[in-house]
Amino acid sequence: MTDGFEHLKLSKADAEMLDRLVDVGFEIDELEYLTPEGKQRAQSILATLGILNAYPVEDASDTLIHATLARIDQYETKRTARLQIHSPELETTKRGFRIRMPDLMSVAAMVLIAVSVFLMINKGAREQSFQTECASNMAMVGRGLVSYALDNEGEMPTTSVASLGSLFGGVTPQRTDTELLAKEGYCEHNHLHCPGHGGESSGFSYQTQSAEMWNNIRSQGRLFIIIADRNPILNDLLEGGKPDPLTPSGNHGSLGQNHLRDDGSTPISAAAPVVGGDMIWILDGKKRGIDIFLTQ
Amino acid sequence: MPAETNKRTDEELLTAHIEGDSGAFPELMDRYKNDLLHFLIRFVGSTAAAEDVFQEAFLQVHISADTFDPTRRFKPWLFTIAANKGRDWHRKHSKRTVMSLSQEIGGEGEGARFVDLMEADQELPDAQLLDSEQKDSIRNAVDQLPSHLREILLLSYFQQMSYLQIADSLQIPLGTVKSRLHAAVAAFSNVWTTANSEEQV
Repeated sequence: MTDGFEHLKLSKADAEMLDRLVDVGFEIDELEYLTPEGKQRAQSILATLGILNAYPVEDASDTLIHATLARIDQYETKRTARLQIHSPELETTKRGFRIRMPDLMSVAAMVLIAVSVFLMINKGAREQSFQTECASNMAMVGRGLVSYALDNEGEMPTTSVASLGSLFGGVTPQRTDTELLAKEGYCEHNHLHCPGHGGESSGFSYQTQSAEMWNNIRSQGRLFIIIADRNPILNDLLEGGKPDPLTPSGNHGSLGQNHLRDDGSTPISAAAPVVGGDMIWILDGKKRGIDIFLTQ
Repeated sequence: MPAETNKRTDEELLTAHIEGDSGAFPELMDRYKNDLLHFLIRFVGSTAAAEDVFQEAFLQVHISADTFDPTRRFKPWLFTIAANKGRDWHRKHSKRTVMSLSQEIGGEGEGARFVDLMEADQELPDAQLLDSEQKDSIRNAVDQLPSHLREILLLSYFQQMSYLQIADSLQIPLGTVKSRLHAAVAAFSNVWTTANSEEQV
């Protein structure tokens, strides 16, 4: 590579002193056996390089880390989608169709087996894909919540839900309001949905508490769940039924429930919807405790 | 127990990230956000471009995390990845710097021109006292250096990487690292002196 600079070289004495300075991390005091002339030379080099310290730079903005995490999420979502499409299991299954056998009955049996295996894999792959996209959406909402809280003195966006008053002894509870997040541009509308939920307006359920409990949560700084897959028994609860609180959400088949924690993580819990000892679809009625209760 | 005792190392954080600890990667980024961004701003010459390269660098760290050898240090690895991404950026946006110095250097004939910093007797300002015009002048001087000299100057001076570390990171011979750093320092000194003498005329 030629750039005109290749002709420039340091004098032998400067070059040797620069090498010594590199060896000691540019700490002149670390240089041993330094003559007065050597010291002066080292100081000249450091003074020249010291000018570089004044190169104008800015500190990183608050959004840089969030933007980087979003880019990583995007990458992961695309990668997962690619894996689903090019899954080696699917290709193996396709190859199965090309097998030719003299015995027609054997061929038919092979085809039946292949089709059923294909359907099982395809269903599993689809559920896995939905689960990954759902977790990715939750993570984006989580980032939106953090940004919202930063802009609003730590407050979470909440909305009153009068229709749930009967479950809170007549007190109107408040739940996380992600519609507000999307409306104010902290996330996209499509992040508020789980693709596995089957077309209803929202695939998620949200932390729902009385105002008193929200304050308790804030004061305790307790780790809690903000969003999870849709509460499958809420309607039954509102109608006065006694549904099984261990009913799994149908969102991801038998994979379990995605949930977003207030530390931004989006783990999936095994099929039984119990997190940190709380069943997440009902209030267990303990007055002092903070139950996770998720409603849509 | 003091908080410092519980602080995880960079290498432990990366391992935790691989194992699914969602808080580990943001913490790692937070540790290096300013140090790395400053390096990249100096390398690519603008904050916006540096932020873009910053994101690409950490995305690459995420993608390649499995290949990281946890017995080695994370920081040189991170800066190597960032330097590679910065070089890619330079390739994509290559606008060859026209070297006003080349004629002057050519005047010395085919051979090398030697710069002796101690004898140059150049006026070196106190970096703390520079005004914005002088800072712009420094930016121009650095931006005139070709990227292959600039990256070695920055890795060596600001990140205090040894010749061996730089050679290992950039996969170039040790002798090339040395000669490039020598050339970078000579070139920077020359560009700076020329710019200042032009201002004083």
